[in-house]
Amino acid sequence: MWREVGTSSAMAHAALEALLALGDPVRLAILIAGVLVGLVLGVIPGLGGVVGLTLLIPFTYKLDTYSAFALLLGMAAVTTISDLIPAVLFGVPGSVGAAATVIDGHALAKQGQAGRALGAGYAAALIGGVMGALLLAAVIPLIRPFVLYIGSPELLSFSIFGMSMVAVLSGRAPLKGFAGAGLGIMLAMIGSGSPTGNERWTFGTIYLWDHLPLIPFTLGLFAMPELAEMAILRTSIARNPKNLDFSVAAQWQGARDALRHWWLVLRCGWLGALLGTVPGLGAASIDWIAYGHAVRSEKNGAFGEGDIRGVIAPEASNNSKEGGHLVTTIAFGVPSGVSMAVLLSAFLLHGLVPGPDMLTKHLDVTFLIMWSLTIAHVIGGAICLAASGTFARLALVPAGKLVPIVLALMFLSAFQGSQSWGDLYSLVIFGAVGWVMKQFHWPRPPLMLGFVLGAVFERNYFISTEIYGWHWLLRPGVLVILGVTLWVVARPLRDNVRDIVRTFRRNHGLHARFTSAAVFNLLIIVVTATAFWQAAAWPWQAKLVPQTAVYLVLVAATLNLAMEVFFAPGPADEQAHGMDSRLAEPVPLAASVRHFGWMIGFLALAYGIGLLPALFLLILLHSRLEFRQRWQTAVISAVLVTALSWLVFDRIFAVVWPPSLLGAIVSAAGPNFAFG
Amino acid sequence: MTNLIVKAAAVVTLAALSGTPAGAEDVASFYHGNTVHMVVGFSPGGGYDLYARVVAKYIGKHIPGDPTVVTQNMAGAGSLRAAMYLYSVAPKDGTTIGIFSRGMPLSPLFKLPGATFDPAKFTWLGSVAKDTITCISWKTSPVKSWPDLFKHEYKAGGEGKGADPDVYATLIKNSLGAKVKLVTGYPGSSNISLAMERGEVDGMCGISYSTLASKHADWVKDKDINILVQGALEPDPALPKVPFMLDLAKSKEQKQILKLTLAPQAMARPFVAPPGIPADRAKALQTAFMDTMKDPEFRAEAKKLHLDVSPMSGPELAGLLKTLYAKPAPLVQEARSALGY
Repeated sequence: MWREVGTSSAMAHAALEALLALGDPVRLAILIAGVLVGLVLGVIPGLGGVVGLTLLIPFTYKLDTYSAFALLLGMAAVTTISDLIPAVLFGVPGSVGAAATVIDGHALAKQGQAGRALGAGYAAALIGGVMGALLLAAVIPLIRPFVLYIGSPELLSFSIFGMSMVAVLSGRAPLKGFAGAGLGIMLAMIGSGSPTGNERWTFGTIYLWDHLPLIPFTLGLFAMPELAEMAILRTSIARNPKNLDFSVAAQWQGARDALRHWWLVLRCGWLGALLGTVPGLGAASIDWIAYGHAVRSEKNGAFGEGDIRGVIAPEASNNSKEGGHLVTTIAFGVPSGVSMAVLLSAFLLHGLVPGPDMLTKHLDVTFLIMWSLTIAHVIGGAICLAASGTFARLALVPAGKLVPIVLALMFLSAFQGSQSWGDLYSLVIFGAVGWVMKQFHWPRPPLMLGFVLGAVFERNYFISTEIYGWHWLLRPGVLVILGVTLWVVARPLRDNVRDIVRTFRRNHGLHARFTSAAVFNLLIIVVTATAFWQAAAWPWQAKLVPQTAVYLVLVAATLNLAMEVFFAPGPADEQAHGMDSRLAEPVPLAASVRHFGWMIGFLALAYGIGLLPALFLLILLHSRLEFRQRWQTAVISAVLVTALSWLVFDRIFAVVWPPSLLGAIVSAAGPNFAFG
Repeated sequence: MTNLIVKAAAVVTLAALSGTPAGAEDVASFYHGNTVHMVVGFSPGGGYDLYARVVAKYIGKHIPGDPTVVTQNMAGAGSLRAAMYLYSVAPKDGTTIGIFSRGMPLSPLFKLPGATFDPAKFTWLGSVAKDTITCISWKTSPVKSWPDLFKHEYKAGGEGKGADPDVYATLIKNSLGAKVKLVTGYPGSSNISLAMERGEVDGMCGISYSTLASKHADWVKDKDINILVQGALEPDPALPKVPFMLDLAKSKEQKQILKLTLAPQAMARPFVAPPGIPADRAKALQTAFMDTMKDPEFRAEAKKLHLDVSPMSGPELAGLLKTLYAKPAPLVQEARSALGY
């Protein structure tokens, strides 16, 4: 039955039928409507496919199946295209999959090449997305066997593969990279998800019970430091506005860049599509793996300093992974993420049961989904390319006008992580951590990789050893993946070790220098040691992975401290991929403290009078007092942003606002008023 | 303090309004043009979310004054976060209602960490559906029926302590002596089902029959799975041949323990309002809930979404909880350890 329908002629027939169905002008219009909604949602971090789907699904009740999926997928497909805009311009990843794009994309924007970065990103997204979808369409009959083959041991190996990218992404600061990766794994262990059900490092809060939410963590680590730098240095995004190029030609140059690196685009597109089909790996690691792949395989890279390939690689994979997610959802009913889970309910609503039938009996719907994805990518990419010149102009806006608004929006976005107070604290805390890391040249991607893969590693380690004992290591899939891992990281790892040894041998004269960088390093050691002490009482299964991570941090950070204090390297050795470019300028301490002071003040205010009113005051006062904008400008931006935020988050998405003191007083008084 | 004021106000109002038709008008004028928030303890995409959204769509027109009903997701700690929010933070004026997991009402009884609410104080609106949990195995597993569970080891997938697949696998192991090996750590039930399909585990426990019948209709139809045992307070008419847990109990005491542990299945989709809301509005919400259950349009839509509707009213639910909380402490302790808490 399965083979019978799965023949190529039946597939071609279904593919054609679905394409013709999409050619219907009304359906195409519906698809485009979905694309427009998706593009808007993609720009706003924290909003994305999930909220879009919950918003749009009720509208599909009355639509036929084809139109319904055209609408939903048109929307869901393109959020990963427009998320590039804030990533490049502000260093704010518009969705979790765009975090790796920030590194080189934003560096390019600082050099005045935002237009080129956007053009390259869209082109890569378009080609990567389409090629990924085509690959999946071509291998539809193989997808079920492939996914069924990927068991927990293979997932475990994939997570090891992903984490091994740390060796590639630490650049010339390997010790800091390893310590960062260990810290990331430790952060991933927070919550009640331990193998024994013990709570780990939750400090008794419900907020940390599940795990630390990804959105405020990512925004804090990557976006906050960029914003802080802009605020403190009082500059526009483009540091030197003179060599700016917004012409259409700049975007096309970017698009041509993508075409020139077509092989990289293809590789990353396929990588994204394949890794996307692996349920349980998580979307947040795929763009980093693609980025790491580019760093490792491309010659003469200036990654971290604005290499266009650093935009192309993650964007290609970021967009093709959606196709992979979709296929697993369709073929197994296993959603790889919340947005796919929501999509599943749309399937049920339209009488479709995900499973083998979707690849045989309902192959037409499956193809319609793939076509919608493809066409949405083309339309979305085209719209973004056309509009990117306008967006790129934002790079010229002075800090005083831009920072208060982006800062306010970042708080709102972070709050979408789990809609609790903790999200706001996390944003500020990891914002400060990211800022300090950036100042002291600690690469942040390893921290991110440890964080997104730590839990995947732990759960699959325990499942694999529970079921297979040590024999999990002998499974062919595992051997292949681990072999590839070794092949990928052997050389960078050797270089890393050589670097470390060289630094230690270079200088034998004992001259202790205790700089602020060393203080930060020491602080990391102290925090880690405290965490270790807290973990002492846990059962061994619960502390196995966290304590291993702790050892990694302690060893790497202690060695690094010794290096900082006794063997202080010259500034030229500080280069690390994805960390900071040489563009990072030294920043006065007082200004940094004042910048974060504003945020703490904002948190206090929000606690008192509520998030939205505090946001209004933040924009108003920050613009006026800190950046000396005219009252007129300050009031206009405050009113506009608050009103728009209220409309989007309160009216359309019905966000549960965090409780505030004022709110508590009003609601306590409420019933009495009502009773008169 | 706030609570006291609210309570006092509620008592006064109740005294003033009882028996007078003015109450209904007051309720209607309160809700007219107002918004009711439906708080869902889970992220979008799951069963609870789906039930909440369908109820939210229809309950508004059954509440006097026809308020707008808006659904809000508040996921966290297996819906404990939403339960605590509804219990102590949400406005106590009848403008917030919500849904959390079926196990939540009993979690203070089993002394689960963080569950510091008193379920008797909640304003229970009712449950949309009963449910039946099952243990299943994939067709290739040597475990094909209940007796096989005593001959072969049954590797059951789990999600982590306190999750349904873990709890019910532990229950049949600890309480009925089945040869269960719990392999826990899968991120979700759909990941377990995938592990089952690929033969990594034999099957899973705690998956509800309603989920099987809707999301995995093909498994049932094509006999891809064996349904090993069913658990609820009453046997499911759709599963006449599947052994019923309460019948498998070896002693009266064991049956009592199983009854306590399976009680959540009788209130599988529990809707609540915060404690201490004005009595007339509480009554209006409870009535609106049951009227929604009878609404033909609601029923038609639920059917389309494969959602079972077998309602229990708010007062009934409160009554059931009262009897459960009256169980002797040693029995509760036994049940607690049977569940692996």
